[in-house]
This record gives sequence, C-alpha cells and structure tokens, in this order.
Amino acid sequence: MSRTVVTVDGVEFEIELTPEGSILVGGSELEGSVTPLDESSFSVMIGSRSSRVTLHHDGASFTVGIGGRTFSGLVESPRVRLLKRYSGTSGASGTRQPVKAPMPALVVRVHVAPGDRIEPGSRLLVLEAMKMENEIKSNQSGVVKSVHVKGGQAVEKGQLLISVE
Amino acid sequence: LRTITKVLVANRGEIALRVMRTCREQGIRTVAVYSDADRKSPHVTRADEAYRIGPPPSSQSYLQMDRIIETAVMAGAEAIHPGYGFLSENAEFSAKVRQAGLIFIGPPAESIRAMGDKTAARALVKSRGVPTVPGSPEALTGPEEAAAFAQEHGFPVLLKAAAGGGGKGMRVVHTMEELAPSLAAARGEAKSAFGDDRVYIEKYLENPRHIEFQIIADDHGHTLHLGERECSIQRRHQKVVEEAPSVIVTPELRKTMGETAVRAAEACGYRNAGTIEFLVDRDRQFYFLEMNTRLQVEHPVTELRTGLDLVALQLNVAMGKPIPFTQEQVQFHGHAVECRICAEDPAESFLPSTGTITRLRPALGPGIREDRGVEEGGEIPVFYDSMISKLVAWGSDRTQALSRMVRALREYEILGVTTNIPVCLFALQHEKFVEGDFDTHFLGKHFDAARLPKPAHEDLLAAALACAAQEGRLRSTRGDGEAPPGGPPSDGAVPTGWTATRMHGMRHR
Repeated sequence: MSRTVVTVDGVEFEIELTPEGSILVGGSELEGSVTPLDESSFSVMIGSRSSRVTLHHDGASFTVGIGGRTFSGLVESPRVRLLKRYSGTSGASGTRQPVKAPMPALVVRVHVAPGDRIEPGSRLLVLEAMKMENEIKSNQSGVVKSVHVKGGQAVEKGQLLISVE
Repeated sequence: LRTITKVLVANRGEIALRVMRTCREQGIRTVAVYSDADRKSPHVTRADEAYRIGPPPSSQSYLQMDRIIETAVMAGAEAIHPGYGFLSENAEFSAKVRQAGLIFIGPPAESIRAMGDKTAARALVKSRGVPTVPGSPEALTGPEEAAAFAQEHGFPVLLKAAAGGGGKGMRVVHTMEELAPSLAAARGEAKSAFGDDRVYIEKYLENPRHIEFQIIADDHGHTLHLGERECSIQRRHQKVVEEAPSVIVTPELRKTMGETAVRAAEACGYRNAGTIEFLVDRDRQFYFLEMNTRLQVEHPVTELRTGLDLVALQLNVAMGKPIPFTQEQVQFHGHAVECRICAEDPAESFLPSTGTITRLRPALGPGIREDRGVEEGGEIPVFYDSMISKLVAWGSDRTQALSRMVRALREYEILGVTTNIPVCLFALQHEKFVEGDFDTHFLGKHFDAARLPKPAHEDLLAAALACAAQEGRLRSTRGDGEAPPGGPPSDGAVPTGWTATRMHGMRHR
C-alpha cells in the first residue's frame, strides 16, 4: 500500500502498511502490530503497549474509539492532501456552505428570511428531535439566499434547510 | 390480596425490559406493547407476549391510554406497570386502569393529581411541616406582588409556571428592572406551552445540590424511605450522573430528611414507589422541590446500595402485601453511582445523535450493572428520548465505585451513534467532583467539549494505524487501489494484520 496521511483529532501521521507486513510511521519502521479482531475493531501494539481500537466508517472519514473517547480519523493519499492544501486557501473564503439538517427532526421555527445578513453565531432555526429543541446557529457569514423549509415541517438528516450566498 | 400472574408494561426501552426481568424472576408473565419503530426492540423480543399499538410517534402509540388498557384486558393481564415517562404520572391513566378492573402498579390517581400541580403540592406539604423554598403561595396577581416578594426575600428570584416543566415558563431574575418584563415573558411562554398563564415566584437558590429520597408505601399504613440519591450532575435539568450516598448527607441529616420525605409522601396518601426531590443549599438547609410519583430512572443506585429490588417491592405493594421490613431494618452498603449514556454529541452542543448502533460491547467486570434497552444492530429512533443505557457501579466506598465506573466507561465500546461518555468521564475524574465540591451548575460551569484533556500521543497513533489498516481493508474489498495491504487479493483471505515484532522475529505471513 502506498503512503497515506492519517489525521486523528487534528494530529497528522504519515503511515505506510506494506504488503510484506511492515509498519512505517514517518518513514521509519515501527515495532508493533496491527491485528484485525473483527470487521470493526483492531488490536494495536506499539512496542508492547496494547490498545483496542474500534472503527466506524462514516462516509469520507472514520469515527475511531479508544479508551472511552472517540475521534474522527481521515485517511488521505499524499496526492489528495496536496491538492486540498492548494484549493483550501482559495475555497474557504469563496464558497458558502448550505445549511443542512444534522439529524431527522421537526422544524419548530425559522428565524431568518431571504436577504437576511448572517454572522457566525446567528440563530437560523430551531429543530426538535428526541423531545429536545435544538437551536441551529450559523458557522459562517453571508446572506440568506433561500429558506427551503417552514415551521411544522419534518426533515430528514442531510436535507437542505437554508442556502447562503 | 390481589393476584398478579401477568403484567402489561406500558413502556419501551430499558425500563420496560428492567420491569419484565423482575416479573420473570417472580414467575409473572410479561406483555409488551410496541410502536412500529420498536418491532425489533429487546422489550418486545424478550417479552412473553407483544402487541402492536400504533405508529412511531408516542402520541399515537405509547400515550394511547384506551388502546393500552384494552390490550391488557384482551391479553388477560391483571396489572399495568407504567415505567417512567409516557403515562406514568398521568392521573387519568391511573384512574382508567382501575376503572377497567386492573391494578395500576403505582400510586392512586389522587396522589398523582395532588403532586402534579407544583404550587398546590408545595402548599400541601408545607402544611405538614415540610420546608419549602420561600415562595408565593398563590399564583402572582401582578408585578407589584412580585416586587414586594423580591423586596422581602432578596434577589435572585425565580418565576415559574404553575403548570410548568422542562424549563418552559421559567425565568431567573436578578434585578428589580428585569422583574416586570420577565413576568410578562414567563406568562406568555406558560400560556403558549401549557394553556395556563399562572406564574408563581420563589427565592432562587444559587448553588443548590439536588438530593432526592426514595419512598415506598403500602396499603397497611407503612411509608418508608430507602435513603437518598444525589443527582446534582445535570445538563439542562437532565440528570447525567447520580450517586448514593451523597457526600454531604450525614447520618443525622439522612434521618431528618428521610422522615421529612416520608411526611411529604403521606401528605398525598401515597402508595407504591415514589421520590421526594429536595434542593439543598450550602448550609445544608433542605427544601422540598417536588415529588415524582413513579419509579425513577436512577432507581438502580438505591437497589445496589440497599440490596432491594424496587420493582419487586412495587409488585408486592400492588398485590396488597405489606412491605416486608421496617425502617430500622433498611440497610445501606457501600457506594453506588450511575451514568446515563445518551446518544448525543457533546462537541455539537449536545445535538441528539440518531441512527443504527453498529457495534456495542458493554463493560462487565466487578461491581458493574447495566440496564439497557437496545442491542448491537438496533436503532436509536428520533421519536423517543436519547438514553441508550444506564451504567451503574457499586463499590465498598465512593473511591472504589467511581474507579469502577471510570474503568467501565473506558471499556464501553459503542459505534454508530455519538454518546456523552466523554462527559461522564470528565465529571467523574474532575477534581471538584472527586472532592465532593459541586452543585447543579457543575457541568454548565466546568464542561467544555473543546477543552477536554488531550489524548495520549500513543492512543492517537494507535487510532491512526487502525484507520490506515481499515482503509486498506475496505479498498481491497472494493477491488480498487494497487496491492492491498496485509495480504494478496487473489486468495480472498481476510488480512491477518501487520507485525514487526523483533522479539519474535516474525513477519506477517
């Protein structure tokens, strides 16, 4: 397998697992082992330090569990990583992210209308799920282009709620 | 005496299963009811009989009183256990069950009604000498009355809807200027939430602890308490960690508070299991908050500390038997702590996390009990509350109980939904919590998902190695990429892993 860059909890590791069974971290060989236990867990030894790691594949990234904590883990080839680094700077300021439903829920109230200027922290709408009302706030600045839902409407996870420009 | 040979449990999830387990131990047959969202849930698959009662929303299933009662009659159950939540504190349901000639495993409708109106409940217990937080005995007539109260007792004050619950129609007021507008706002909120704009005022305790007493009462004039539970570790009025005993309750205070709790329960003619909640201030003055007229979520804490089975006691009392022990015979052993494991994401302002649990390996080992109503492969549906499991630890003292809980939480493996396990671990290991110096504002004051302690570098490396290996496995099953790691693709074998252990001089394959 070619080299990969793995990011866990914001920390990057350059890892290569060879077909011959060697483990290379940052180019040098690691004494240890990575042994699958079943389809969603591994026993990992670093030297003789033993840990159980559980993994859930969540679209592009993993949710990794270790010792009661969970982290997101991203595996990228060095090429993809490089591309992202170049596009990242220009993309971040240029594009606005549409607001999508983080979970299946009921829209209780919508606080914004097309044309409204929003800032990070602006209250956008209230979703109810599991008996709790959840305030959805903006994490970006921009102008509301269109609102795709209204109060009382049920929405699915990932459904488009608000477009921002 | 009334005979019970079959019980319908009008609930779902862990509590339905927990009630059924005791029934089964006593040779009582169990009847489950379920909505379409719960067809595969353990409370259905592990019951003796199960009946569908409607579509997923609770209003069309678990809150359908008549349908549930008809099901019980049709199935030949003599009794209905309401669990907690849903219909458990609904006086009309309790009355209807009895009118249908069935036994309601819980208090009479009159007791539920007496404790259901919070203002009336306080007036009632106050008349029996139970201390209550200074407050207006009647709903406020207007801002002048509120101002007079604040002048007499000082700020801050709390405005609270008479029909209230869940924080709606509630306002903490710190100054005279805020008072009139806050009263108007609280009334508006109460009106729209409950159709009742009555609001009362009380002194607001700034750093209270939440300490509650378990009550059990029979038909023979016996009302006993089974000690306290400290439930101060809360988030948005939802308890997260509960323990017994409370570090601030001395044997003398336990006796006083316990006797007071018994008086409060007797004031409403209470029967069966219930809980008296108190707020306790820094000077260990305690005030009646409310009575919960049902079995509580956190009842296992009391069970581990007393060795009693509260559901068995509920069944006994419902059958008309006397409680088989006296107050003096209630024994307390060691320390118990419970964590509510919920499907919510602490990093995303605790948004509920719904979905399929793809992996679930519970923690076992010394002193651990788990009450859970979902299994691996099960769903956390959007229609009900987000609690997945109650993990309870017992130890001979607090230190051992807390260590066992921390150990069990670290062992607990769950994937597919995000949980609040990091919040539980945070609280249990926090210096202030360990010292016993905390109140109901603990989590709000101290917890910040972005500032959790950094994990050990080796843990992150181990996690990264597993990610890389899993990515390789996924790629080889997808058939893309070049040489799949851990084994050639042609033989179709599952890769056995990578080793580079010099000690054994061994390589993969």
